[in-house]
Amino acid sequence: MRRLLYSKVCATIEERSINPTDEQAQACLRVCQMFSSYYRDIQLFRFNAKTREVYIFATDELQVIVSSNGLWRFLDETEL
Amino acid sequence: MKPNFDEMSRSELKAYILSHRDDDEAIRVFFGRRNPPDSQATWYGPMCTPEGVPIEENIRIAEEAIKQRAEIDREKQQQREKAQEDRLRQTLEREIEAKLRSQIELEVEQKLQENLEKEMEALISAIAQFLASTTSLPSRLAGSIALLAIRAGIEDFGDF
Repeated sequence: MRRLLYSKVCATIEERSINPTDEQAQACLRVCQMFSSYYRDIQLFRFNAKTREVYIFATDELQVIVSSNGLWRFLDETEL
Repeated sequence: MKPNFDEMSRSELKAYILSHRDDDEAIRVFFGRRNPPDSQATWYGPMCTPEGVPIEENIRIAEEAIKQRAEIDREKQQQREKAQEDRLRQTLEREIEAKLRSQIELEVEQKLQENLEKEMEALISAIAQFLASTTSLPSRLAGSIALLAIRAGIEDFGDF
């Protein structure tokens, strides 16, 4: 009974797990801090466990994707 | 039942994800609409090595890119806010003008009405005085006749 409950809890945690790579975590931290420094609020921040990408939604026209290898891009390059 | 995210417009999807912060599927669809696609995009390099050592050049490039985008974004936001403020001000001005205009019109109308009533009284009194002085009618009767004459139409008064 204990084991069953334990595995169920683990599965639930696994579904919502946040396990970025170090390069990714560093990139996220720096990107967020840079947005903050330039007065851009971050409205939504999400680690996607399936794609292992981080999605950062700052403003309507400013969003960033950080991949697991630490590389990052703007969602829309031509928006501005 | 969840909406079909693929069929939603960008603004609809944006509104949805901002009110459903843990809907991974919706967020993934929103961030899946990339311009240009990943293969043609500008990817900025990692800001540290797998060992955690900062890569200064990439940090500098990132700083520059975000600074540029953030400044343009901020300017556009200020322009949008100003435009919105102007629209609001114009609406307010129109509303105030419309409200004041109806008040002024009402006041003018009341004034005119008052003046008209005074003039009518003076006219009735003058006719009554005329009747009383030129005929032997008592003044009270002359007043009533003057009122009747005005109601009947002042043009034919001479034939009275």
